[in-house]
Amino acid sequence: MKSLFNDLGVGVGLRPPHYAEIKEQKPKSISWVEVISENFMAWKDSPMAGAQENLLQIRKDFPVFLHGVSLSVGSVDVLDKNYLERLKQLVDMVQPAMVSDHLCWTGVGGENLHDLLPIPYTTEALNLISQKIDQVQNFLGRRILIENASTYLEYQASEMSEWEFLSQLLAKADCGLLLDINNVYVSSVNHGFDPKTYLSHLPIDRIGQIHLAGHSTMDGYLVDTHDHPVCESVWELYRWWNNEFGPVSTMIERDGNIPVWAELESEVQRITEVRSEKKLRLG
Amino acid sequence: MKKNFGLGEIQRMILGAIKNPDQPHAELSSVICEKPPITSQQRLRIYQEAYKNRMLESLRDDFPRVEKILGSDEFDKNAAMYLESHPSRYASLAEASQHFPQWMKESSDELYEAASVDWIEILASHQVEVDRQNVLGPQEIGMGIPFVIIKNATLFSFIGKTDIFVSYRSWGEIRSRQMRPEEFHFFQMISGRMEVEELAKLVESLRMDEGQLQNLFSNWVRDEVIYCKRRDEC
Repeated sequence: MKSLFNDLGVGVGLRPPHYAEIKEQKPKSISWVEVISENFMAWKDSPMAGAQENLLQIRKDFPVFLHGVSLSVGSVDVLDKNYLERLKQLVDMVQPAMVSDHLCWTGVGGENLHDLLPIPYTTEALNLISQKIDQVQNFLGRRILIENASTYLEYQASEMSEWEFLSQLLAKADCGLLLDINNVYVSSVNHGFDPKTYLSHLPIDRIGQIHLAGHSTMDGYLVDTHDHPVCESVWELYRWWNNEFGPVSTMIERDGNIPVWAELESEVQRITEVRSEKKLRLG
Repeated sequence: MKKNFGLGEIQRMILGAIKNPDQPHAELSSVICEKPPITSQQRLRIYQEAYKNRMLESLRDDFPRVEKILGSDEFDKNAAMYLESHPSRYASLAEASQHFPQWMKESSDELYEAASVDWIEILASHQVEVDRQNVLGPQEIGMGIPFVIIKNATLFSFIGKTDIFVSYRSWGEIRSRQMRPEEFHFFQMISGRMEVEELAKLVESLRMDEGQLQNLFSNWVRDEVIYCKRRDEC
């Protein structure tokens, strides 16, 4: 089945410690960068002009993916118009290759807890979220990607599995999926399901991007901390996925204990290696 | 009997439980699945801890001067009270910090001043770096190359009880310094871009000590509070 999205190769989540290297060295190991949208969106007391200028400089050399954390499509609150307007300003300015956010709610009653909170997989949530994604896509004038979040609790109210919910949502909202394989792995350990069952049931044609990241192992569960290298189990899942379904734009996310660029770059290069295994096999 | 909660009810209950971890939330036993490997309470605690840590860490990062004065424990207590009275209604954590200086004013002038200086540093860090094309160094200025004076547009100020604090960007770094009231008054009178002749007239009208003024001016050029750019190419 033909994908709705082009494979743009290998990327990285761009964070401030690596701005200088990416700007000056323009590393060949990456074809694009992803940034957190909210870190570049203007607000009342700050137009964020410095950050935006940095991003526009990088944009000259690399396509940019905008990845948000506060759209809160899963909340019963109506969409925040002011937020959407600011996001649109950024989208118009950066002309990103992809725009994404999470399948989650971040707050209710106007409050923002700044976390990616899990939703119950119900018909009520499905209808609400698909309508909200539709509104966002109409407002931005483009298709967006929704990412599966790591979760630590499940609701008694759920009527279906996460992968069933996602599959229905993607079709109903006509949006794409940002597949975070680490999140699938973290949730599979926390809730006791088979990650390959999850991955096998997703509509391949709607997957526009893949995230790989590290997590922390706690006493009996995993937390999606993005402060470690990608673990071997996640690399194995990615390898399996790539062999089964083919390459999709893939990147590494690192938000804590951020290593020097050379170290992170070696992880990024591993994505290229895994992707080429499939090509070799096909060759 | 199992009660079917709607999405809105579930979200309000979860939000309340995350923000108030010390209160009992018995109603959530009918909301969250009880499933190994950990209990539903442990599952909820992951979100409670993450919320607390994320918000406190953000405030600590934004207000290092306040934390230095109060110490970590006292800072955390104050930050928790601030979050209770000013829950974030913003998209970014940076925005969520913006009322903290004003809130600190109720505690003491010293804390208000420290928080305000921390805040102007943050605002300065969001600004566009100065365009250094055609900026003259002290030697070139001394050689008599015609120039105009340009204020560092990234500069933010806070007027404290006795001192005036300014923060600005220079070579990617955030610099902060204190100005005496008369210095700041003079700085404010300089327009965004000023000819040397206009400056001379201003100096004359202010009747300031010439030596002192020269000293002040060269310090500002050295510290990049102001820039001198070639007049013909500016």
